[in-house]
Amino acid sequence: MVGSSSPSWQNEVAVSGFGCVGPLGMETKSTLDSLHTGQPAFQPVSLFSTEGCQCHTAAFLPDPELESAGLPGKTRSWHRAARMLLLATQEAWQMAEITGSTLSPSHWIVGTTSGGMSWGEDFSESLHQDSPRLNRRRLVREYLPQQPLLHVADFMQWQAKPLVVSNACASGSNAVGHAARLVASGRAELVVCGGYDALSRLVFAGFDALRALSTTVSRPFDARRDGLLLGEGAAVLVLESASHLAKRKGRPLAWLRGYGATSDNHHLTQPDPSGIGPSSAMHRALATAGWEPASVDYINAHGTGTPYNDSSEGRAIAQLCPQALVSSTKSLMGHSLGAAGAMEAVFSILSLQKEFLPLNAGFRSGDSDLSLRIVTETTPFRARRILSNSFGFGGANACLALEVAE
Amino acid sequence: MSLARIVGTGVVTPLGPTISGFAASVCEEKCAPVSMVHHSGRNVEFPAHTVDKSSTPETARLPRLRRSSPISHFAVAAALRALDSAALHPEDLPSDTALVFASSNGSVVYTRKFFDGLLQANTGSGSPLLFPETVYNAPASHVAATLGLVGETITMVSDATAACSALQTATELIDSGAAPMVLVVAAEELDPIICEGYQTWRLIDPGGVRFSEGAAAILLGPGHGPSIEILDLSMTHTRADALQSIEQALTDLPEPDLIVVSGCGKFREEETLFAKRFPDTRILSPRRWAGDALAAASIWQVALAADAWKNNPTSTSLVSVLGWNRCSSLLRLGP
Repeated sequence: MVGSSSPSWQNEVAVSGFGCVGPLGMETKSTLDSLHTGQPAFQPVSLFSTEGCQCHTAAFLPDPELESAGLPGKTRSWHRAARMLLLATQEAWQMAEITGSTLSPSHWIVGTTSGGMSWGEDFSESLHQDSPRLNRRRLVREYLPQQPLLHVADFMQWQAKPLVVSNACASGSNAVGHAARLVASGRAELVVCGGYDALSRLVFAGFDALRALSTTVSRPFDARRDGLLLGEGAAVLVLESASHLAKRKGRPLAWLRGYGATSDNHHLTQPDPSGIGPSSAMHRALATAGWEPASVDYINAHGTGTPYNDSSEGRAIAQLCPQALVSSTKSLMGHSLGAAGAMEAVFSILSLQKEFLPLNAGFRSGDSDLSLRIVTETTPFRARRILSNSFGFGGANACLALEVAE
Repeated sequence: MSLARIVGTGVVTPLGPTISGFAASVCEEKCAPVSMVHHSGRNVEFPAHTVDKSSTPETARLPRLRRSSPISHFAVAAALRALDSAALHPEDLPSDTALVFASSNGSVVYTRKFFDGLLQANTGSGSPLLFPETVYNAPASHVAATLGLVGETITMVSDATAACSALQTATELIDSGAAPMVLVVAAEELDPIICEGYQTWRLIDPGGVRFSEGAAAILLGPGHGPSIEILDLSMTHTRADALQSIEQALTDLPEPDLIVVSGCGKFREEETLFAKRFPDTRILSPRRWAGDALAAASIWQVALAADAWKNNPTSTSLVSVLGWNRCSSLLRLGP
């Protein structure tokens, strides 16, 4: 088993603020309401043509909603991904009650898989047309995955080391986990981290080409599952050392106790069926947290709804934490790729704070060889310890361990 | 000061496959051959420095790379060469060795082909063979699989400073005890769409930048080799601010034995800055002779400095990277 060398963390890592924007809501409060309601947010894709695809459904933020979010005029030239990232960041920073102070995070670490891909598509198409070069220049600049970070840092007036993590669908968790490790090891006191991704034609067509998209509904871990549905959004967390937080008289909203990241070399797009990939990442997260597997109350699963992923992850959960309740919130808002890990970390914190577990929509009965305690209805539950799993193409496995703040 | 030491280096460059050959060419100011990159369907071409695809023989027969684009071949070849230079086999690496990969453009050849396929077919469906290779972390995945690495793998993306972020992350992983060794790999591949993009960004003007491709790998861990220290890694508002950030990091630094800068073409601000601050120190500009391979070229710079250290283990070098997207970095290699 890998992960033998995961050292315990020296410093406590507090989550002092968080924010999210996505198909379930424009901010945390409406997202929380949607999680409670348990109504999936999928709708026919209207952002681009899906003609020729097998799937035509996703969960996304309609442009009019983003337009009405009250963002300043200067953001009109930004890609919608950058605007989502700014909304989530502003909410997180405000929740941490740092707004108005001169504090700046030392690091600004964000995961994404495709940056402003839709404008890269527009640029590519424009080369075969006679469109003005001025537009093209903006398309090139705003397509870059680091551009939303630069915009947001400028807007927030931060002087922070920027890191853009692109570990496919685990990117958001890797960004949060790496940020937490910096705080835990004493290399940073205040770090802002998260993930973002906006739906794009190229990525949608790619998953469709792989036959990874569902042609029915998203139902992770259900025996009838036939694929994932895509989503989009942004989620941001403010992480601080306990001493830094105490010094400025802030309060922890949750504790980030552990992080595990490993590689699964089985295949570029398919996990090892044995579950060794997810299992090794969960082992590492538990080791850094110093937790026994039996102490985990709930797992916010990666749970994409593809036959391979859920089988591999389910096997790992059943072997390691059979007592834990499990749900995949992708069944409600789709797979937001680079945002997913950070988004699901936020959902996990909401579960800890508000004492409920979100449901796993569409689940009726699971694989016959897997025994998992799937949450099928929104459930009042006082969880103390939660694991949040994220796994991606290229065998990227990540797991975050979150604990309630009393 | 980080505990990390550079114990191995490997390169894939338009100036050849060895660090000694690369260093000799850069020191002698020998320019790599120029090829023209054509954009089919459009009447445009761009001068560039390309890597001969047969110059990575160690990857030719790897089943994992059967359908991969050049960037993955470059990355794997550089990684294998770094291990070789450290006299290590993949099985010698600790099981939790981490891999940090950096790139500015990622697998752009397959991304462009995949999207062109969508446009040409005028349907929503594309090639299932191409798409998985388009993700930024695909090359890292192939490196990990080839070397049998099952520890943490992390891919970082940005302008040329992505490689510096990768080095910083690597030192943090070692210093925090999260990984005993870290392999840092950076790679880029050329595609006409990249040239079109940077031309649109007005970098490929006459006298501007000539782009290139390739990879480099640095193995960090305990052992004999130069130390590495990240003195600056900043995100600023303008390119001038980025240069100023490097200048500030130079305050109180003693004179180094070598400076390796990222400037090329008409962009020579770093050279001017360093020449003024350290008039007697030799300055190398590898991108002038091998082209700008963005993140990969940043690790070429570090590999050059590490090579110089081999000849004089008491020497110190500064490596400066001024990215096109207003990020900056300054690194120091030394005893």
